[in-house]
Amino acid sequence: MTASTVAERSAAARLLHGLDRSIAALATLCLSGLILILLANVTGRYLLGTSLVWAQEAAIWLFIYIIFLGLPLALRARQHIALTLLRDRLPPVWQPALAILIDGIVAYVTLMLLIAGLELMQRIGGTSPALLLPVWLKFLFIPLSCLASLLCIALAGFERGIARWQGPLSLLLGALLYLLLHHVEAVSLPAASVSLVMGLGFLATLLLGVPVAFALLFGVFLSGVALPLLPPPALVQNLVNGAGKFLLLAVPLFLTAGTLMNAGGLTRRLMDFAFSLVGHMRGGHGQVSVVSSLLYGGISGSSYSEASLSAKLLAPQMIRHGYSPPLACAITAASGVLPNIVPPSVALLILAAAGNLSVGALWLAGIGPGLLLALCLMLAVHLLARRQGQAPAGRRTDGATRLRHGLHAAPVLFLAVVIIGGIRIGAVTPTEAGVLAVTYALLLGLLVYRAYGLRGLWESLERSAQESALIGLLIGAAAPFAFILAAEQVPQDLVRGLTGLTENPWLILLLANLLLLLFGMILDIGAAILILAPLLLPVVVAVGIDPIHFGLVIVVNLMLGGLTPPVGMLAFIAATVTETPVHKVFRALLPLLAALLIGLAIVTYVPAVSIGLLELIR
Amino acid sequence: QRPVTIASLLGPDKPETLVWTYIEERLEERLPGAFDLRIATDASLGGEREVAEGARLGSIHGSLSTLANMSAWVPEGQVFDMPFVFRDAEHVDQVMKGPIGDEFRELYREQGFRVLGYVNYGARHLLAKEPLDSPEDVAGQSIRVIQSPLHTQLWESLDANPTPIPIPEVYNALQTGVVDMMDLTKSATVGFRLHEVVPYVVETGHIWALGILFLSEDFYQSLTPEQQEAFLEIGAEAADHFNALMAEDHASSMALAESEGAQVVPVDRAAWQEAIKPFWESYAPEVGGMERIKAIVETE
Ligand code: NA
Ligand code: NA
Repeated sequence: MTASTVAERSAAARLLHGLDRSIAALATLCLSGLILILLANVTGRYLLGTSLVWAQEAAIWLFIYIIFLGLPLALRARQHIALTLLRDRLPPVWQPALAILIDGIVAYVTLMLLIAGLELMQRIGGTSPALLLPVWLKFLFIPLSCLASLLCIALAGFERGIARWQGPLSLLLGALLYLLLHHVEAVSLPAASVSLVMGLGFLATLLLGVPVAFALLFGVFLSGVALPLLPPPALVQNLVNGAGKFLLLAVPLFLTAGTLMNAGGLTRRLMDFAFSLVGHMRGGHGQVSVVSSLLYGGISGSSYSEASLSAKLLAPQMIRHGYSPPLACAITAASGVLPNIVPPSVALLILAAAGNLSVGALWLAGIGPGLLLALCLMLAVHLLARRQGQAPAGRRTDGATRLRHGLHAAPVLFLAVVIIGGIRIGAVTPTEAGVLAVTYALLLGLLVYRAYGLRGLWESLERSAQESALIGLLIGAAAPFAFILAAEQVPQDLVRGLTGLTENPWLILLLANLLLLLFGMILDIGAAILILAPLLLPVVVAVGIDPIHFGLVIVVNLMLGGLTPPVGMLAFIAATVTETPVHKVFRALLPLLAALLIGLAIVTYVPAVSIGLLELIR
Repeated sequence: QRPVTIASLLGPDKPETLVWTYIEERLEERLPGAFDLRIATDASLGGEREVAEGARLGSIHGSLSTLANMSAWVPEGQVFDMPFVFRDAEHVDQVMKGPIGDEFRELYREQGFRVLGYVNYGARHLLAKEPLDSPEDVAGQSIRVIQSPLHTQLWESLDANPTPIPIPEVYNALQTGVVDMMDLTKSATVGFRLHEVVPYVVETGHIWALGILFLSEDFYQSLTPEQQEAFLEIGAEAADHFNALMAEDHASSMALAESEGAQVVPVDRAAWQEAIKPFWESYAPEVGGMERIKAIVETE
């Protein structure tokens, strides 16, 4: 390597690094602004009795900014969620070709977003009545972020261990795809089945290893070649509106609260408490994983952050105490189902937004199923431990130790009470509960425990902004997909098909469950909820099933999809963190899945498990 | 058969959807096999704002929109949302089918919305836990509002505390006392079963929720003259059909609510009109001046 290439490399790497830092800083500022605006709004409402008319809209715009600013950050850090099935099986010689193909498709989607974003800004017109600002400003960061993303793809070879020509080649492929699909008249696809073109485009790119969000968007762009039901600018508008719903603002808030809890060592306290409670049982460390997920679930709504946390902290302990690595991963992954079911839950929030249901009601209805599933998992862990001849993990702790750990964890658990109680008595809306959670976690970590300073706080916010952006993009990317299905009247066909088969609510529930399981296996939960909830809710409501009850069936069911191939996010996360081959984790998950399926059956056919508590309070 | 994407915010049995099935049937009679209307219900193509944006961007070919929603593009339309500018449904009809309505058709067309007809969703009434009737009674109460400066400032001018809350949370918020009252049309009130938590329907009829039945202008321009004419004529009838359906819906909804314990409270309209005078004065510049308000009020 000559001196000039070293200098060149460092210049390109420096450029990328500088770009990355400035974008991350901007995203962090947006998240801070979002939190401050909503905090000011809550404070104003309680202390002064007035709300800021523009607060909601401003917070939504900031969330949109965060989502798009996160695009290049995640591309550079390779954080976008993708399937590595093919990559793991391909011989090394073929790896560069696959990488170029994947990056080329990502580049094509990014290029389309760039062009469509510019056209959208030009054509949207209008003024936001709440902000009194032109609406195109809402899309301001789309072209900028897309440009930065394309730069990241082009210069990837200067940073990662790949050849330098790979980046430009990927970009070239992206540009070729664009020209081929949108400027060559001869290229046409059968317009008769737009949804089919879209679905196949999605599945093919997904299996290649294109990140899920990009695969979804690729499918929709491709369907436009068959019949432009959703012209590109409208697609971007759909994506933005899909993520930019007021209810979904609670997503970045609860993610931030979770990150701050972790940074402040608050979640550690929960794990210690869980250990003192169940550590002595058969398969003790596995039981701890389940119980700490349940406790953590009471303060966090993100299964993904929980799964990565317990894979980091608890899986090594389990392996040390005789669990095989795949089983340890499987247990942490399966426990990761719980935080999205126990309130506060991001999945139930997304469902509330998609199905026009009350978040408060859904969250309360999540308590019963959460406890039930935890019980199912604990039983499964018990049986597995007995079969593997595992000794109990630790001594039975005495009451005093439990009390000590309990008190130690009490400030964290108190938050769970505040969130659930606050929403129940109607003192706060879910978004306000999110603000409350962030503020509380911040005060505990920054002032009471002094676990981090301002620098640590900034880093936590930066991480939360990135995580919010990733989830936000996934939610957004599912919206155009759902639009095409709705525009093609797939829901109506489905309703007719299902109700034509039977009008028996029990059978309808069974069929709906099978459909959910199928989609849950291939789609991420956020996307799956947005696509399926509007399809299925009308069917089940028509045969007299309570929508809140069915909402829990949807979420429990789809969470199980996170544990199955081909797209099993929870299994991926646990496998990635512990460096275990994912297909072994999938196999180890089978008995746990069976236990969760039994739980699902109970949630499905015993409505009291979910809505019983709700009716009791009413 | 040309696919036409139609967005409806509500279910298949609601006037919002029925107006389009009416158009579908009449079009089929007049131009058999020409169009395949795909009516997506239950807001599956997005909320009101997204749908209107989609019409400008080419993903939506036709839908309904309230004039309040349209004010993002035609802010002058806020004048129709001023309280107590309309006397009754007949007055609304006279204004919207007269020169004022024509003037706004042109404004909407310039922004990409071809108006087939104006629709009337009905009057907003005050929903309360107590049988209040005078404007002084709302002072100090917290009221749920939509996210709009007009609505916020209106209630602030009466010394109430306006709080924006998304509609799915409203039932819970009223039940638990986060807010004391709200305003809504009768059929929507019963649709959300709000009469269970705010049983007094105070018949202020302060704001009439008006809207347009529209086609995307780009889509309209892509039609043959014969097809354009068919859409315009059938659309105008359909808008009237919608208004009739809506009026029936209000009546049957209220009958149901009353059988379940709701009570209608009549009000002294003159007292309310007097009380909102200061708001008229202060907000008039935002909606094109007092002259515009007067032009509506004085339409016979
Ligand atoms: Na949770
Ligand atoms: Na899966």
